[in-house]
Amino acid sequence: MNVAAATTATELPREHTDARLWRRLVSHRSGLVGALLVAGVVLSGILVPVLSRHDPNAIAMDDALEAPGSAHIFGTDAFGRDVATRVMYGARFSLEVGVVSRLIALVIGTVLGLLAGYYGGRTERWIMRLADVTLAYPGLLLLIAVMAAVGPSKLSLFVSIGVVGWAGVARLVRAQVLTVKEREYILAIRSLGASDSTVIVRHILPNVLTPIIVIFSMGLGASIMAESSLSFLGLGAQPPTASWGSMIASGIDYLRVAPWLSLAPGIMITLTVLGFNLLGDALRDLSDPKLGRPTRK
Amino acid sequence: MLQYALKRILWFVPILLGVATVTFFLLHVLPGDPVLSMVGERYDAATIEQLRTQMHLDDPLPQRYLRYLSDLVRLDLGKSYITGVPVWDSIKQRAPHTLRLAAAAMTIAVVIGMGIGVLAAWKRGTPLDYLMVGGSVIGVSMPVFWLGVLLIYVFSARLGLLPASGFGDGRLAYLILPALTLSQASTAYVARITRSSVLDEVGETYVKVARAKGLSEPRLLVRHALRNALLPIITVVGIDFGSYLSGSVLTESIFAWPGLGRFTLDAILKRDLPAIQGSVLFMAAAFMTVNLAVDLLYARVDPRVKLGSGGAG
Repeated sequence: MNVAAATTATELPREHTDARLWRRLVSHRSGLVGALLVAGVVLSGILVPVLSRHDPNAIAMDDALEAPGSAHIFGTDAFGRDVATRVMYGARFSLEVGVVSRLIALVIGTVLGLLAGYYGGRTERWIMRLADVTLAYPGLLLLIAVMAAVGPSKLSLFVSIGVVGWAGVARLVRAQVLTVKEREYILAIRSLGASDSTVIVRHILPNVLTPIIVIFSMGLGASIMAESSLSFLGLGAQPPTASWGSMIASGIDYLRVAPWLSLAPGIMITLTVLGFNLLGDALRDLSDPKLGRPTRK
Repeated sequence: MLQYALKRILWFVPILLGVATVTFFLLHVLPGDPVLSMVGERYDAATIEQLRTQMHLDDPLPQRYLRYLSDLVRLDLGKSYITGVPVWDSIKQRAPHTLRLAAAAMTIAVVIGMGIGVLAAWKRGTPLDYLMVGGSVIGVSMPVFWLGVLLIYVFSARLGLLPASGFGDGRLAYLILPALTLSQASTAYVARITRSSVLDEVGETYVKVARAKGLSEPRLLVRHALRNALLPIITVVGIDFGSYLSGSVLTESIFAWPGLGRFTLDAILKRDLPAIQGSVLFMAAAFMTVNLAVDLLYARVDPRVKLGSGGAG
C-alpha cells in the first residue's frame, strides 16, 4: 500500500503535465489538425502491408494506366502498379528519410550549438562562421551537389539532408544556451566545482531540450520536402522504390491521359508537410511563445 | 549606416572564401570523375589520361586549390569542361533570365500576398478570412515542383491557355506559369505575415484615433496599419530571395527556363566543376547582397532599428 502510494505520488505530476499538454494540444485547433494529419500519414506508412493487398512494385502491364475506381482508388501507373499502395509506401520512405536526417541534423547542431554557446570566444566564432557559410548556400543546391557527387541512395539522403540542416539547429541551441548559461543555479553549480561536461550535459542540455523537440518537428516538414525535391530531380529514391517525388516526375509524361499519377503523391506531400508544420507551430506556441520562428530555406 | 554597410561588405570576403573552399573540397574529395562524365565511356585510356593532364586534374589537391583561388582573385571562374565557354559568360547570359523570373515572382508575391493579407485582416473572423489563412498555410506546405505540374495540367493540358514550357523569346505568356510557381511559397508567407502584422497594428492607439476620426476600415488598414507593418513584410520578401534561388532550380527545370538554376543543375549532373563552382559562388554572393540590402532598407523604413549590434554575415 505504502509502496503503491509512493509510486503514484511520484508519477502523478508527470501524468498530470502530459495530460495537460495533450489537452492543450487538443484545444489548439490547428495543432490538433496537424497531429491528426501526421498520425494518418504515419499509420498509412506502417499499416500499408495490411491495408493493401497490392505489391508496390509488381508489374502488371494489362492493368496499366487504369483510372481511379473501385479496384484501384488512385488508379494505376504505366506499369500497372497500384498508385494508392505506392503512395503509402512513399509515406514510409519519406518519413524514414525525414526522421533519420532530422536526427542527424539535430545531433550535430545540438553538440556544436552547446559548445558555441557555452564556451564562447573563438570556439563560438568558428562554429557560427561555419553556420553562416552553410546558410549562405542556397540549401537545395548544396543538397543536389552532394547527392550528385555521392550517388543517389537512401543512406546519402539521410546524411546529406542531415548535414545540410545542422546550421539552423546550432543557431537556435546556441541562443538558448546563452540565456540559460547566466542563470544563478548554473553559476552556483559551477562555483561548486562541477566540470564543464557535467554542467553542459546534466544542467544546460535538459533546459534547452524543449526548443530542440520543437525544432525537430518543425524541420521534419522541410526535410520531407527536400527528399521529395531530390527524388523529383532523379537524385533521391531510385526505381522501383516508391517515393512521392519520383512518382510525380514520372507522372508528368502522362499528365494528359493519367493526371492521377502526379496528383495523388503531390496531395500526400502537401498534407504531410502541412501536418508537420501545424504540429510544429502548435508545439512552439505551447512550449514557449517567445521562441522565434526559425529561418526557412 | 555607411560604416555598417562597409563592415558587412568586408565580411562578404571571408564568407565567400568559405563557400568557395567548401564547394571546392566537396567537389574534389567526393567520388566521381568529371572526365568520364565529359567523354562518356567511349574514349580510350590514353585520351582520358591526356585530358586529365590538360585539365590539371592529376595535380595534387593543394596545388589545384591554390590555382583555383588565384584565378578567383582575378575574377576568372574558368571555362566549362563540357562546352569550353567561360563560366562567367554563361552566368552573365543566364542570370538576367533568372532575375526576370524572380522579379516577376516577387511582384506576384508582394501584390497578391499583401492583397490577400489585408483583405483577410479586414474581414477577420469571417469565413473569407479562414479560407485565406487556410489557403496560405496549405500554400507554404505545397512543393514548388508539384504546383508547377498542377499549373501545367490545368492551364496547359486542360484549358490550353498557356504554353507548358520554354522561354518563347521572352514573350509574357511563357513567363506566367513559371513565375506563379516560383512565387507560391512567398505569396503564402507574405499573406500570413501581412495579416498578422496589420492586425498587430490595429490594436495600437494611433489606429484607434484614426478610426475615431471616421476613417473607413480599408483605408485605415492600408494607409496606416499596413504602412507600419511594412517592416516584417520587407524582411520576409528579402529572406525569400534565397528561396527563389533554390526554387529556380526546380521551377526552371520543370518549365525548361534557360536561367541560372537550370544551368547549375545541368552542371552538377554533368560534374562540370568550374561551372558548378562559379554558379554556386555567384548565387551565394547574390543571396548575401540581397540580405544586406534588406537590412539597410530595414533601417530606412523603421528609424527604431539600430544596425551594427548583431553579428555580421
